[in-house]
Amino acid sequence: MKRICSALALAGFGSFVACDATTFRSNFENIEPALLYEAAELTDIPTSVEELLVLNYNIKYGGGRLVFFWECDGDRFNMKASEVEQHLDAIVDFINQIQPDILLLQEVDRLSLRSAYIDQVQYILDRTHLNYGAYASQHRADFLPSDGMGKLDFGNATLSRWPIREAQRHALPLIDAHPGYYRYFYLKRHILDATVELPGVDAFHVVNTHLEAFSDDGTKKEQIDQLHAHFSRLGEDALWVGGGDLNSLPPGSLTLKGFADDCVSGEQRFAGDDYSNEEDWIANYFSDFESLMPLADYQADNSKWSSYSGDPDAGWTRTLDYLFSNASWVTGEGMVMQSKDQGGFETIHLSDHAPVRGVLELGP
Amino acid sequence: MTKQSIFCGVCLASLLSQDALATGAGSSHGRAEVIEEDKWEIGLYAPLRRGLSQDLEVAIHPITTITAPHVAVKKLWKRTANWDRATRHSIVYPTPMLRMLARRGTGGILPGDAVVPTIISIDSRVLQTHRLDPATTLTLSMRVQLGVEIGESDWPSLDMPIGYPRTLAYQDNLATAAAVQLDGSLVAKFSYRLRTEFWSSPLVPEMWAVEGKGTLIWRASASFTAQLTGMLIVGEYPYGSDWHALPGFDLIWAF
Repeated sequence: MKRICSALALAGFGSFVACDATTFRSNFENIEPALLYEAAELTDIPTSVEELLVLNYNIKYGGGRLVFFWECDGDRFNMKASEVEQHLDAIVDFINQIQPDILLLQEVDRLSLRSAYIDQVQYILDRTHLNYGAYASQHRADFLPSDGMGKLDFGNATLSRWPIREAQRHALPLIDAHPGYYRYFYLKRHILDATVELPGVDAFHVVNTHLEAFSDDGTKKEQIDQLHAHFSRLGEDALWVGGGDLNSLPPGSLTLKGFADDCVSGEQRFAGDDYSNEEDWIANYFSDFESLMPLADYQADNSKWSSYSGDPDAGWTRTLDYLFSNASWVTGEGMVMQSKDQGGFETIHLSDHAPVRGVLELGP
Repeated sequence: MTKQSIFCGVCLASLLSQDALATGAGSSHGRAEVIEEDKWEIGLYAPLRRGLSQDLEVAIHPITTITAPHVAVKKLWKRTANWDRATRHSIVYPTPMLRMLARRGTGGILPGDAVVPTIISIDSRVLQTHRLDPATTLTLSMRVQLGVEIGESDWPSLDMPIGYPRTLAYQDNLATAAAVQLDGSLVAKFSYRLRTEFWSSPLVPEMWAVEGKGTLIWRASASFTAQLTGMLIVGEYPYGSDWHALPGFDLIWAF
C-alpha cells in the first residue's frame, strides 16, 4: 500500500509539473519568441532616419504613485480599471509630447488581475504614434497564490514606429538561493531583443531588460555579465541600442546605501537597497559601449542622473536606468527627465522611475 | 511556506475538488445512487460520506468544513430496473475560508485588503442514471447554484479553472451546470469515468466553461480505490478565453 501511495503521489506531482504549459504557465524556454503587437491604427512611418529619439521608461505597471503592499507601509493590492487608465493616460500624454521613435518599457502588465486585466502594451500603442510592439514576460502565472495576485503577466515591452521584424526573449539566470516552489513562481528575468526594420539599416536591434533587484548569491552579477555579452555579440555585425532598469549603480556613486527614500520607520517587504561591493559591476559597460550618460558627467554630479525614487517626497535618489549603444549619442541630448527643470515634465508622480531619453546618430 | 498557507491551500483544493476531481470508484459520486446504509466513505480530497438509509446519503468534507461549514444530502427518489433518479442539495457558508485566504504573502489567494461579506450559497442537482449494460452507466445531471452576499463586498473573483465557475454564484448570485457522465469497466480491477460538464450563468451571459474529465479507476479491493484524472477545461474568464489541462488523483476508502 505504501508503494502504491508513493507511486500515485509521484505520478500526480510529476504530471502537475510536466503540465506547466497547461496549468500555471510560469516557465520559459531559454530562447523563445516574444509576443508581437500592432496598434489598432497605424500612423505614418518616416521613410528615412538620421537620428533616433530613444526613450527608456520603467512604468511600474501603471500603478503611478499608489503605495503597494511590497512598498514602505504599503496597503494597496489590486487596482481598479479607472485607476490604471488614469495612470496610463498620464504616461501616454507624456509619450505623445516626447514623440520617441523607439520606446523601451519595463514593468508593463498585460492581462494581470492587479491592473484590471488591461493590456498595457496595446493600450499605449493605440493611444500614441508608436505602431509596433514586442513584449516578453518576466513574471507570469495563470494563478499566483501570493498576495492575492491571481493571474499575472508583466514584463518588458519595446515599442517602435517601424515594424518589428522579429523579437526574442533570452532567459537570464534565476536565483539559485530560492526554494524550488518559490523559484517556480518568482520573477524570471530576461533580455528582450527586437529587430526593428529601420529604413536604411540592415539590422537594428533594440535590447530591453530589467535585471534582478534582490540577490545575494551573485545572480545579479551573472545577469549583468550576460547582458554585456549579448551587447558585445550584437556589436559584431549589427547596430543596436539597449538598456533598461539594470538595478545597479554606476561607478563613482557617492551613496551606496541609506538612501533618502529608504523605509526607515515603516514596514517594508524587502530590505533597503545596499549596493556596497557592487560599485564596479557595470563599469565595463562604460568602457566597452557608448553610454548615453557620460560617466564623467555622472561622477561630477550624481543627482542629475538619478532615475529612481521609492518616495516622491524624497525626490530622485539613485541611478538605475540606462541606455547604451554601439552608435553615437548626440551630445547634450541625453538626460533623465526628472522634472520641469530637467526634461520639461514633472515625472515623479507618474512612476517610481524617471524616463531616460537620448538621441542616437544614425546619419550617413 | 507556512503551515497556515498549506492549510489554506488544502482547504481550497478540497472545496474545489469535491465535484471535479474527487469521484470515487465504488462510490455514488456523480451518479443517482447513494451509498449503502451505515456505510462510510472518505478520500484524500473526496468528502466524507455516510449512508443514512437505503435512499439517503449525507456528505461533508472534514477539513474544509472547519473554515467553510457545509453539508450535502443526496436523496434517491426512484429506482427502476433501468434507471435511478436522485437529487442532491447542499449549503455552504464560505466566508471564513475566503477571509482566511485573503492575506499577505505566500498563500494569499485573495488580496490582503479584500472585503469578504457574509456569503451563503445553496446548490441543487437533479441526477438520472441509466444502466446501459451490467457494467456501464450513463448519468445526466442538471445543477443550479444560488448565492447571496450580505454586507459590504470588495473581493476579486477567483479567476482560475474549476474555481471560477464554482464560486461565481457567490458574487453573481447564480450559476448553472449540466453534465453527462459515463462509467464503465475496463479490465480486471480497472474501470473508467468520462464526464463533461458545461457551466453557464444567465446573469453573466459571457461566462461559460466546459470541463472534460477522464478518470482511470483502480478498485484494489472493496474498501479501497485509487484514481488518476486528466481534465481539460475551456472557458471564458473576466480576462478572456483560456484553456487548461489539469492532472488529479485521489485515494478513497470505504468502511
